[in-house]
Amino acid sequence: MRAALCLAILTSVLRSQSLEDQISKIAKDLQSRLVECRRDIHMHPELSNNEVRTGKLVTEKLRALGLEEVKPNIAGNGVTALIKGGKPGPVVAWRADMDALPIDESNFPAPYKSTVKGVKHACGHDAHTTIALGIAETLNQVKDQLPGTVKFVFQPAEEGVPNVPEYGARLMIKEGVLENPKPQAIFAFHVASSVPVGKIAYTDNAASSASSTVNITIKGKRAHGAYPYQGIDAVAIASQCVLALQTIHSRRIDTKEPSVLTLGTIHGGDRRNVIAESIQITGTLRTFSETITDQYEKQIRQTLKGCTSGMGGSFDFNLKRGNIPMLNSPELNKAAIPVIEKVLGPNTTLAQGPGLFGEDFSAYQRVVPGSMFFLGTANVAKGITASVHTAEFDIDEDALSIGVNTGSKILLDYLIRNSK
Amino acid sequence: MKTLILFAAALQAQDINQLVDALTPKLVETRRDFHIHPELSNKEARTGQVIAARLKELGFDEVRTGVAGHGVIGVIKGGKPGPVVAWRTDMDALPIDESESKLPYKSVNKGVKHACGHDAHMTVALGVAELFSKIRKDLPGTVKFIFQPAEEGVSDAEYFGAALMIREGALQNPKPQAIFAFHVSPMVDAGKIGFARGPLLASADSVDITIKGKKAHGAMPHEGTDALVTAAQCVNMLQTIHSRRISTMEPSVLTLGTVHGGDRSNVIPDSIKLEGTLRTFNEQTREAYRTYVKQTLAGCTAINASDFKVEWIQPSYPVTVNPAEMVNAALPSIERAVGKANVIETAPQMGGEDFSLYQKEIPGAMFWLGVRNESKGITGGLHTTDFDIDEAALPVGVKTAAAILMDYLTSSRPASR
Repeated sequence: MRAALCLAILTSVLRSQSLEDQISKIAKDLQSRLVECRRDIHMHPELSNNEVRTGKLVTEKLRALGLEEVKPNIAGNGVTALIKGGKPGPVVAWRADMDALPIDESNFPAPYKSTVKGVKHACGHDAHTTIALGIAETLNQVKDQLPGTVKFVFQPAEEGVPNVPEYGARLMIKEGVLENPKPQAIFAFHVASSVPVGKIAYTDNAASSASSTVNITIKGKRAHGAYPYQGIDAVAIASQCVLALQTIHSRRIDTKEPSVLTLGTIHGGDRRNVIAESIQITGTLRTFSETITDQYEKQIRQTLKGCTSGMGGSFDFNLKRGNIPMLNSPELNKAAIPVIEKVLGPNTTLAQGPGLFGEDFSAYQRVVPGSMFFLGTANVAKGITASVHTAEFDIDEDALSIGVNTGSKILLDYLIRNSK
Repeated sequence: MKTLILFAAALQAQDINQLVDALTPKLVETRRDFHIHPELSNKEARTGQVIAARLKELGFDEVRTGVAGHGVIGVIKGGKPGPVVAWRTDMDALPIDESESKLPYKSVNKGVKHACGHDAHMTVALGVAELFSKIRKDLPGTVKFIFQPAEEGVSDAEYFGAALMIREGALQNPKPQAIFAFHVSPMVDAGKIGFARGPLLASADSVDITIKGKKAHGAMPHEGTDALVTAAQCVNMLQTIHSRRISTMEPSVLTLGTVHGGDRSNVIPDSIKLEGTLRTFNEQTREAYRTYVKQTLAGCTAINASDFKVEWIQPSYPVTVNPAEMVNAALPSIERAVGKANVIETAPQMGGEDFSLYQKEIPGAMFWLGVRNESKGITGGLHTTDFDIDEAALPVGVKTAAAILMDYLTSSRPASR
């Protein structure tokens, strides 16, 4: 009762301030609870598609806050929920991912280190989930003043699961998270270990690379090693192919298009004195556009055909497409920059080039315009500099309320600008 | 000398033929027993026991067992004075499966097969041993039968096969003046004998090459040194040794048979391992290759500051070279045994043999025992699942070997006696 009374008084006080000031205050006051929430998730990390506890925690928190249409168990342990504003307006979405990585942090010195051996939130998804819950709490408090609807998307399995055809963002989309209601735009944060806390980076257009898996089999003909002319030497052909494939990058792709073709494994042959009949090669292809991936696929095939037929052999080739490049909307970025700088001060946004990582936020961007911002979490003075996906990775927790404040305002700004 | 040979021939040719004909069913039985029970290199325990028991049964003067593992040496002293001559046979089988074979005498050891004819080699040697035990009083000298294990080579020992036999005294007490051997040939028809003056079989060397780079994320090759691309460069450059640096008059083969390396498709590998074999027909070429392989790898890896390791490992066999005068001396004996039309000259083969190691110690010659029979469908190559022999070759082998050895003893008898 007393709490309800206090809240009523607080709400009336807030009403007298501007909406932006109200959001800043709520976010600031939330900080200690955000830290608590982040540490709780950090101590209980769950691998991709095993986010049972995390999904339940998110669901319960959203229900406790009173969000509408809280739907758990989407694409596994995913959750969606709505805040329907008091004024008419569009629908905008905020996405957070929930899964951790198979990285051990038994030697991590923090008091909030993982309690699950061999599993760690080493990609900041604990912060992403915490911030999204903080934004939900913040905007829910001012929902009467919101011109439109905010949809929260908590996604599992961003890091990927082997041997499962669909998971993470693609499965969320398949299960309808971008329908009923359909958002007009989608935003997200990713923690950035190379950006100092208090700053936010953005990338126009291609931000992450497309990654595809390359599988090649070079086929020759077996013969005694002393009689190579009676066979077709798959080792010799494979070597020619490996070198010829490296010239695709230097000779056939526009040098302004960054790309990498790496052949990571090569295995074949039965005995030293037998001409090898078959060599297996696996690799990865990274590009920043599907057109370049298409071009590689065609030119890898052409190169293999020439190299193998030239020496009397043959080949199998298969390119399995994984993540598509993240394509951030320059329009959404342009609108968000002044919003961010108003919160964090001048020159707190940094334009950044594309990175060679994979992020399945790209899947949502193929359905609706979207932008992912890179939330600074580094702090050299505190020794917080380790990269994501390492055992030493940590964040400066000051980034949590910064994330809640700026994220809330990016969403609010979008609703206001698109509500007329 | 010629009169001596004719004398020996007149005295024994007819008797020998009759004795060998009588032995033929036993030869087939012996060969099938060996074929059904093949044993891998340095595992020839049963085979060694069968041989030792047979030699003892034949009343050999000396039967040494456990030489170089499961090797056996049998010595038979003739009733007449004369020199010492050796006949060498190998005993081991190969890791080749013949469980799908329809042969009634197929291997009972899954995954192991006498696919290089060593079963026939042993059978012929035992046939000659039995024959000589029957005509012992007429034998002008001593014959030493060397049954050798591990001819196909093992990778876990520095010395094995012929090298170890020699180290353990196979060519001492008594020391033979010369050594002979057969190898079956699926390229020569049964009933025929093939010969080569000079190189018969290539040198065979095993080489292990490791290309060492530096690991990095597959998307960031510039942060590592790609051992896979370097290895590909090396393989291509190594193949130019044959075309650009060795006289085209010198036959040679450098085969890299296996390539392995890398942990994941998206990680730049830091190590690629290649395994290969080198075949040449003379020691200079063999040495040149060793130098050029090292030079090529040093150059190729210097390009991107990576590193390499090259190791020449066992098995390693020199060129099998038959001294021309030894072959010429034996030809009349062979012609007498099989008929002039059935003796054919063959081109050198790229296979390797550790018989070459005995040849480094004493004069030695190896001949091809034809085992092919197209009409019976027996055409499978050595070291293949389909390999078989026409068993008609067995008595031919015994007659020919006996003629070679008898004539050698007769013609090499010291003049003073």
